Amino acid sequence: MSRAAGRERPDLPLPLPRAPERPESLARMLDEDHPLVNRELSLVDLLDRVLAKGVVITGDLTVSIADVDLVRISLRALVSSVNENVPSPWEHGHPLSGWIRE
Amino acid sequence: MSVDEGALARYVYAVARPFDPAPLAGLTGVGGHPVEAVAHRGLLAVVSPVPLREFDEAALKAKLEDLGWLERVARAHHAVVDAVMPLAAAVPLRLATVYRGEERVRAALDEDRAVFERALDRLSGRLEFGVKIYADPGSRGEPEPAPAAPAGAEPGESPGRAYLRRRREQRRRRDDSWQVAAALVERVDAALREWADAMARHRPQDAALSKAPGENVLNAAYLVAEDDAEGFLRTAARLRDEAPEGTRVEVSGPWAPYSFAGLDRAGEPA
Repeated sequence: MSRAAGRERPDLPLPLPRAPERPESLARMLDEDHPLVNRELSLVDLLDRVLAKGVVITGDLTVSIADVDLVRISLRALVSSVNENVPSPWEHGHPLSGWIRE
Repeated sequence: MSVDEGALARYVYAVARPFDPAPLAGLTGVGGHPVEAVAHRGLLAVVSPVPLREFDEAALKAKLEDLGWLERVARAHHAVVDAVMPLAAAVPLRLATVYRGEERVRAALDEDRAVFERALDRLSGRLEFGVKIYADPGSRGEPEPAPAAPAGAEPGESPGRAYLRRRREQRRRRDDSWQVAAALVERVDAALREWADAMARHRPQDAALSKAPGENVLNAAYLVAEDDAEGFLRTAARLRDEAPEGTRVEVSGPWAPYSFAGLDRAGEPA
């Protein structure tokens, strides 16, 4: 099924050389309604990416404020205000805690 | 360089290989500001001139607490990044990377040239897809009876015992759901890595923020070469359609490779 069967699975991206020109397929996938693609981007999905990820370089104005934790804290504050009166649904720890990275 | 309060700073969305910036002319970026290209020695920064006071430290501290503001900026940032992706190899920057003027942008491109070159090499021709898995105990079989409901006692069973029994059954159903979901996480990840160059985990999403039913047990991103995107999506769609009762698989994308853009800083000599 896969071109990659048996290939060692890297945990980090590999610097594979690619042809510099852009194949048609990217524009097609980005521009057209692909039947398998969900382009409805939830705000939470978006914030996962634009706040916590992306290349971090030293902006003149962002060093002290673009600290991810600050944003996380403000989001957490929102979450906890929503959750205040809702008790945790599991009493003995999350059964999948091994999968959940804090 | 001296900058007064009313001066224009530069908000940077992405850094790309040089391309013809004509298509940027019609774009609107953060705060409704126009989008421009700053080309500099083999790299091109996609920027918006923004009033300094909109993005200085005080403004950002206040506004980051404002989810409405955050959403507008995040969506504008993403829209520009999305528009650049088909035009050239590009790496997205984190939200709100702002410089005091165009000269500082050029200086930053020089300072971090090695980081950008490596990221562009690594991410060129690649897309990101999001995959989330949910455990949803409430969706399995019959709806859960409310534990406080007086009905549901079996013949000869006291209301107290009936309550405890129902609580045990609820917990068992939840544990079953989570076990099924944990096995699904392994199966999905193994199958999708066959098509992917890399996988990154995001923190599981809180249902209060995402409004998604069930418990988010996997929130992953996969970096996929364009040529493999079709195969990746086919596999993801099959896994989604075959997800066991009580679990749910959601696929999103293609995204610009946000989740993989920042990873190679570790390899950089500090």
